[in-house]
Amino acid sequence: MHNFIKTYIVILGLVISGFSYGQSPYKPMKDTASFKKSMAEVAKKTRTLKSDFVQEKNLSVLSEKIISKGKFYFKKDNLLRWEYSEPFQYLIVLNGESVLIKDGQKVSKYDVQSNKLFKEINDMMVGMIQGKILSNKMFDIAFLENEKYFIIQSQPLQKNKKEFLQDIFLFFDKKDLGVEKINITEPSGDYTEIIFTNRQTNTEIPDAEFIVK
Amino acid sequence: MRNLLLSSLLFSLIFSCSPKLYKDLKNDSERTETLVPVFNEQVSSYLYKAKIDILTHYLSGLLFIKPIGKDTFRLVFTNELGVKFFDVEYFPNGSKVHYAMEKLDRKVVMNTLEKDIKLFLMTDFSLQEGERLTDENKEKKIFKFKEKKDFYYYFLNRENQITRIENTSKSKVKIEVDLKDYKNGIPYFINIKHNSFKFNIELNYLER
Repeated sequence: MHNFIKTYIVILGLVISGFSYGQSPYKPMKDTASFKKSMAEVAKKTRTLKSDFVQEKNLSVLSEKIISKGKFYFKKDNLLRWEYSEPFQYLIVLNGESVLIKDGQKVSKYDVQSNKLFKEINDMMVGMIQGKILSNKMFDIAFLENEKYFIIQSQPLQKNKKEFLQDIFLFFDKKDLGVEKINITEPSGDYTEIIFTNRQTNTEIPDAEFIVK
Repeated sequence: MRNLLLSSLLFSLIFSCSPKLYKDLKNDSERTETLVPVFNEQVSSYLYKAKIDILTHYLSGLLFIKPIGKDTFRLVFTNELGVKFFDVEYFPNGSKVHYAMEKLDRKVVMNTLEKDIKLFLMTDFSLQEGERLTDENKEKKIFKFKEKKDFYYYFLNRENQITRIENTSKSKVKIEVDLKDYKNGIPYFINIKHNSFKFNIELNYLER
């Protein structure tokens, strides 16, 4: 069952890093080199990130959506808080060496180092912060764009991920290179869209936000 | 001869120790209410936060239930982040797995799940054929169904809402379901418990 948790953590990791490839309705990115360079600069300057998010799970065949909302916090080097508040309460915190999940009153703790996948995510996050985010062996990556966004499309290379994951699209606002939207597609045609609003960079976030009680 | 006596004594002892369940219940011919399934087409979809304890594992997520026609339902179970565990269509005497995560996609898992889920989807009985039962004081309202060697009991409250479901053999309760906190005809709390091994599902309704 831990694998399920690992799965979410991988996706969470991708939320704040970014990788990919594929075919898509978007144009190939004109100047990849300059995008990568700007990304590295943004990553270097970013100490903290804070944002609200809306997650929309689209069940295509049923024409139904499951919408949930919450808050996202990130602090250099490797502190992450992903918290759902509507319509349920669920909290995931990555705090250096540990992953904590609070589901209602139940708190579960996992060790990053004891687990290969958590370690990969951790390394990915640190890599991103150091501006080396685009060298990853787990995903095939394509650089795309449209009028509003630079887009990174990632496709998993590992068979066990391909089973439920087709693409991850990360949409970077062309104005400030912040991630505004993530779209995770599945082979079934269902997809999950996460939209970030009230994005704030480099505000003070106390370390206490990354402790789970 | 002594051995035979002893063993027959033992036999009758064991036999008398496993009383038939609910032998005091009797037929209630005065009642006329119909048994209304827990979930129905009046509601376009249901969403529950699900917590599952199975053996040493704990799993949580969201259970989405959509009636898609008479006696047919689509159930999608995802984790909180939207990663899908399974997507199954249930209909009378069968089901179709549209998707199941590799680890869950085993006959024993999917069959156990189907049995549990169908306890409250109630697609496999002809609801008119339920036996109406009550107790000595005529306080309880119960419907009983029989399928192969199993019995299914549905306990109703005064509003004729299902508050408890039991799947039993002749002598013991195998699976018990409690349904509580009804609002607008929807049970906001459902708990499914297996008595033969540790497998417990708790569902809490999510208002949207």
